[in-house]
Amino acid sequence: MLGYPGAMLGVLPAGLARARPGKVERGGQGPGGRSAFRPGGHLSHMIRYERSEDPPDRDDRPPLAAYAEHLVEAGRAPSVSAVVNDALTERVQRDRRIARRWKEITAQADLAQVKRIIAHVEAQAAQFPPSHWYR
Amino acid sequence: MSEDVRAVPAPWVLDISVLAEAARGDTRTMTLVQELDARGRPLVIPALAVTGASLDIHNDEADELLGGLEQLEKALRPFIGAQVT
Repeated sequence: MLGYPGAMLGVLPAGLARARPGKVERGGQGPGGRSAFRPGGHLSHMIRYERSEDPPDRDDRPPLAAYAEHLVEAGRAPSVSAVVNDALTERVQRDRRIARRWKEITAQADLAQVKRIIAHVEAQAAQFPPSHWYR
Repeated sequence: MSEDVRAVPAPWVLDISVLAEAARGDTRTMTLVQELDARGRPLVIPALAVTGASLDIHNDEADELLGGLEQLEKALRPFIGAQVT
């Protein structure tokens, strides 16, 4: 039994994961032989751990700064700042694209129907005794 | 609990079936989630349910729609950002 969430799937979100050289495999095959790592996808930051009894170390951090410095040394980026700026730019573009897509889809909705659903569920929830509410 | 603190309903928990519909681009489900957030209702979005929905639908569009959940303001995301012990 692995001692961390997501162990059954063999994957962890990056926020949970602490990469450790030799213990982490990027781009591995997920359940059903499908890749759990797809660049550009929302879950592209998923990290697959080798199945092990050892949970990830808490103090190990992904060597992002070292990678940025490597890009500069290799001539693939003019500076570490440029690497950070590029990453942030990509993040902003992605967030805007996602917000635009949500807006496009939800603009087609029957809002009155959605409000009726919410009212129906909240009417059911209101029937619970006060012990089922929180403060 | 003191009586002067107003009790509020339990948060809405988005399980994998709801998240899978959102990942499919279901208009009604996505609007429901967005409307709840706009009303300030607390939403619980378990990371494993997001993972399961992503694996269930498994395409880039679905992953991006699930990524939109990060932009909800009232959502609670258990485990994301937590320390692994």
